[in-house]
Amino acid sequence: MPNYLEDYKTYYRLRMQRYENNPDYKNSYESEKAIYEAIASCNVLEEFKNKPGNLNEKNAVALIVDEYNIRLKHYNEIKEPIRAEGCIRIIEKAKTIDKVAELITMVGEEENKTMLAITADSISPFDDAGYLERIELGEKAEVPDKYKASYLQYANEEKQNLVNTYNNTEKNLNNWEPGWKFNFDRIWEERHRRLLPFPDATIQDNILKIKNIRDAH
Amino acid sequence: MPIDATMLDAMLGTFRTMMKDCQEKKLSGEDFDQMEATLNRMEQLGQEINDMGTFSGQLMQEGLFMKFSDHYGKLLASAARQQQSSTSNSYDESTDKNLLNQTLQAYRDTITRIKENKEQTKKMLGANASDADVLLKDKAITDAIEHVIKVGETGISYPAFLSEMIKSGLDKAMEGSALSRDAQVYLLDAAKATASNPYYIKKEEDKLNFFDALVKASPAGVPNNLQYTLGCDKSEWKYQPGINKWNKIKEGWDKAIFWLDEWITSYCSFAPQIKPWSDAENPVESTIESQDCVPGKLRAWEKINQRYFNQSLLELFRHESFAWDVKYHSMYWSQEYMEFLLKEVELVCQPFHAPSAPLIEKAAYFHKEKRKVSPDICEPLLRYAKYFDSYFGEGEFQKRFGLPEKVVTNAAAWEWDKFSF
Repeated sequence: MPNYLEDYKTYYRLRMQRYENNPDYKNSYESEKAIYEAIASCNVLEEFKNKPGNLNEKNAVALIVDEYNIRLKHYNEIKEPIRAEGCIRIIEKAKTIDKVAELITMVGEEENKTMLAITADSISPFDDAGYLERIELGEKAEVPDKYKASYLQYANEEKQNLVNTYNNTEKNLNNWEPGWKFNFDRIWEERHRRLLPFPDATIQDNILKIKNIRDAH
Repeated sequence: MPIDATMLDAMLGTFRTMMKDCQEKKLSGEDFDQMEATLNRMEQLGQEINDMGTFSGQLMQEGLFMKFSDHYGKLLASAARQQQSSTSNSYDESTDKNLLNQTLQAYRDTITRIKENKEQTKKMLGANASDADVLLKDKAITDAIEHVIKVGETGISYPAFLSEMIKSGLDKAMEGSALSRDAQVYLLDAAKATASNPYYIKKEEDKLNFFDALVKASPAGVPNNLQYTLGCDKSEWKYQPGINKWNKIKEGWDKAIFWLDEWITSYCSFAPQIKPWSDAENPVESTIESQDCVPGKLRAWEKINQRYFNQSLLELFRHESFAWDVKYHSMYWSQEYMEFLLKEVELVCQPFHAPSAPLIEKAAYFHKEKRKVSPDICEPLLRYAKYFDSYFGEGEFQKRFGLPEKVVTNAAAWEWDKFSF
């Protein structure tokens, strides 16, 4: 016949030890330790039914706080503020919750908000320099006079294509965030800027060109 | 007009199945009602909206996927709680067995679901059903689960079973980590076979090394899933800027080659009879346009790239992306033709200038003697086919996609050490 009390004591000790000396899981360790101490003080298993109180609920909160702190550290390190802000919201709200069901709902809602914010944090189609390159080729390529009109027409068609693409992007992103407008300032945020393989002067120049083309159409 | 039924099925199918599952189990209550209401709202939007982007956006804005999953989780948890509370108040052998059996049954159900999913995938793959055995490494996970079930069937108590799970790392394996290494090796092999640039390979190598380091650091030999996911994210973050720059520089020299070839070939007497000019309404006029306009486009392109990378056209060819493409045989053109373009044609390809007669004659020679194309141009596809076959079976690539016909060229193979311009 198994000794259930001793078996549970072993189990909760192992759970606690999983996080021992792990700086990333300090809250979980403290929480698991509290549960272990509660069962360790029991002389019969039935005592454990009421002894932990809401420690199990707190344990879920502790794990969420620890894991979102790990994520937060990662997103801060790679300078992803929108994802980091999502983690901060979850960590702060989790600390005020003492029911697992509420915790799960809150995490789901906040993750959903973060996903929407990430979708809205777009600099597309600015990352495609192709439109401006084709316009420049059409306008600046030195060609005999007899071709000039058709080259300019090609450039104008590309300008219209560029305008259409920006308008379509705004329309599509309005499905995710009503009122979304292309924000040129966002390009300079490090998470976007680091992905563009061009010097600052080119980016500045491209922004001006796009604004002018959009204003003119 | 509603969303296309096939698309709607793909998006809502899982939720419908979950709903049906709860109905069959005769579950009820507020969470069940909320699930039903949420699914109905998704179905309603699917009928009212005809654009997929708007539909997806609306589902996200209303948080419908999240709401459904939230209530589903709560419903199952509440059902499990009810089952537990229906047992006796004191913890005895029967309570313990009941808890253990519930857990083991959940694992048995998981195995069934994994197998059912695989069968469904096989049906979808049709003639290539055996691909599912390669792509879905379910054996690793079902073996782990079966091991868990066996541990539970040895007559130990429920808490002893849970302890065993922690000690052996099986609790972590249940999170899916058992699957990851094989998938990572597959991605690394794909990156090596494709060899489109070194960053893709380094990125996948980093992920695999990180996986192995986590395994080594774990007492149970199972990596922490969260750490692994974030580590992979960091690898993507680290290499993406390099990949973008690499691709843009490659685009710079690639377009330049295209135009240099177009320009000099357009002067050959046979140009109107070959593509792209033969496709034009007036092939002769089209060759003249290439002769007249390509130099202007090339020099405008040079200025654009000069602004981007502060490099002349020829300097772009000294970027490692060019050497890489030669090394991995992605370079379409032969070494001798490339030297001709860069040493002799590039210099004279200027607006309002025409090439000399001997230069045109030389270009015609390359064309007529079939010396323009690299003899190794089929290598990338053959390399990929070898990789594909190593996973899906000998000869499978050829059977499904065919192999390229051997290119007809009299050009010698590239010798990078001897390449100069």
